[in-house]
Amino acid sequence: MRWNSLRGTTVVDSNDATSLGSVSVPVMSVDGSATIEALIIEGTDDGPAVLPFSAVSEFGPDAITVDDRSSFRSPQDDPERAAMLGAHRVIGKRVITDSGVNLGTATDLIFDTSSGACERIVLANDDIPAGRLLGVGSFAVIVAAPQHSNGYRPGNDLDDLTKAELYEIAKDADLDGRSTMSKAELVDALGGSS
Amino acid sequence: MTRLVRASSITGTPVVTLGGESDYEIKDVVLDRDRQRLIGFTLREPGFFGQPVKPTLPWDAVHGIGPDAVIVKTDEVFADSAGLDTVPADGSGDVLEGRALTDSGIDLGKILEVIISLGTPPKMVGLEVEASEALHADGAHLFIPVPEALPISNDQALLPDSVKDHATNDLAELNAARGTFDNETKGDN
Repeated sequence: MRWNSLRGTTVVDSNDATSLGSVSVPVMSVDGSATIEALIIEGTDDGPAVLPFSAVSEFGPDAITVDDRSSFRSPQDDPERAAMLGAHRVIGKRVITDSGVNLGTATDLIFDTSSGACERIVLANDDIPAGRLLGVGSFAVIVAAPQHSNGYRPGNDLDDLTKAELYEIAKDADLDGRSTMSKAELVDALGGSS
Repeated sequence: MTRLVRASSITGTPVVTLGGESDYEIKDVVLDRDRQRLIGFTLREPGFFGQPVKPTLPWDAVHGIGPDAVIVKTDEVFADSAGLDTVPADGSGDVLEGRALTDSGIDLGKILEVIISLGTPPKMVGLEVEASEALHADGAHLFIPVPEALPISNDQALLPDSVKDHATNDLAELNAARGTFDNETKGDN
């Protein structure tokens, strides 16, 4: 599911069909993998509240449902407090590799509704696996560099890279016709040369 | 891709932790003449009128340098500025304006810039000089490769004679020139 299609969705109590609030921002953990641990819900009776991801029973197209409205709680740790203050968001932030290359602005997240696990970070014209995430701060989102500066590292999946990153590798490899290639063509052409 | 840049072009680049926080940007490059290498950066507050700050960034603490950011592991690396305290604030100004000489005493020109390669880790790879007659390009700005241990003083840098043949006016070619030069150096030994 895309975060942008979840944002603003109404949260409904599955027992009595009352609206409890709407989805505002995700609370994410970045620790080897990126996971949405909780949702910040706006407009509840008590103002913004934290809803643990596991407390959501259904992610419907127009509403998400909660079986137990007592799952709403106040923030308990720093990531939750930061999320509630609007800090440490991924979406809208510049994405920089750990070798100092700006990949663009994160525009969306794709995540698994059963676990909250993030799968892709969507950029303006590209997307990368959430597995590249190293950190989310107030200045930038940091992701792992492809490490091709020291020669392309086998096992580093080419599909994980942006088109701009693939183009840099193609330039190093002096690949003919690279400037007119699509991302898929670059992956194909480079895949054989590693 | 190993990108080569003038050290001065890093000025103003944000210093970002792996956690995505940024409190400083690069002010100047600092060269250590005794140990013949780049030892780090002085820092300033972000923005055009950013004030210099006390903390410095040791070269060893740099995780990666790219066109858009200098990456450090955590903000703890700023705490220890030992070794850089004694360096004058104008840092790289020391070597610039000095002369690039070869082992046999040929003057290759005035040093304009230190060239470093970006990446993890970054390295000092060359000098930009205002070429002397010895390079047959009087007054032109040329790039010359340098070995990793570069004898360098206030007034001059001392280079192997072979660099004379590898001067280039294309920054992108410096890497190739440096490769040749490294091989020759190995061959000599």
